[in-house]
Amino acid sequence: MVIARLLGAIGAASAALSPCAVASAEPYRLRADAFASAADPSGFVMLQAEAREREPLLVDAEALVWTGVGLDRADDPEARGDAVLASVRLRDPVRYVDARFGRLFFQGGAIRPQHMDGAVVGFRSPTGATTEVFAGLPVAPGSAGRRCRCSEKWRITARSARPDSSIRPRILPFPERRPRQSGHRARSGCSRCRKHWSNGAAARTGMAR
Amino acid sequence: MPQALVERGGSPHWHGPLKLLSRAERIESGWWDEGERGAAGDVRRDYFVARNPLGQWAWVFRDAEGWFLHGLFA
Repeated sequence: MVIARLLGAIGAASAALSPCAVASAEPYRLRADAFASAADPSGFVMLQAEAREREPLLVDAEALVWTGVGLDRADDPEARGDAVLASVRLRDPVRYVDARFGRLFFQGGAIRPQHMDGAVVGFRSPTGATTEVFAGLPVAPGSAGRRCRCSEKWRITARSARPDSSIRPRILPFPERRPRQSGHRARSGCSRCRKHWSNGAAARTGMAR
Repeated sequence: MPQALVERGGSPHWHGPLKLLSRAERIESGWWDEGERGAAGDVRRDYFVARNPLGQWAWVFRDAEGWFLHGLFA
């Protein structure tokens, strides 16, 4: 019911889309942002909605669509239009439980965020220890909804952490379980994936300097 | 520390208007520490690779407060 209302609210927000439109009317909060460069085509559209009507359950949803870059880079998967985010999030106000599903980036601790279609559920104990479990399928950049052919396998990831001090949690074991992929270059990925990951490494390297 | 970028017409500027070259990559902090003292809280950032008219490549992000420059590519 709440999700249905949220989706309706997102539709209303998209109809009234402006470069930055915010409507705040508790218990619902809507936000729509659009960025576009006409001279050098690129841009994105982002819709966010939040519902607090049914506390103690908080619901928010967001969608981010990358419209792509000009035709001069049409062969670059990073430059193609794509649905980057389309997820719904449920959580309690005290943050003991947090669940998300849809297309999302899973923050697996010290590794690069993984772009996945799936669901992640997190639990936090009163002492601060947290556990997250994720299951889903990897998304290839620029696939416009199609998944990466090199890793069309369910991926299950679990992460656990406990507070090491009053400031940061410390990451404990990070097991990842993937179905066996015989004769398949799962570690290096396909040409598209390899490009995607090398781009990420370049970004990190650039930032370190 | 990330440097806040000037926005003109809704577009981020750094030595001229920035052209976004890559789709967004979401990086967010832990949902579990929102509201705790000394913690980052529930921060959500969408990162892009961008280029300015001088040909400089930058790593920029956008959050609820606007656009920021986080780093440069050497």
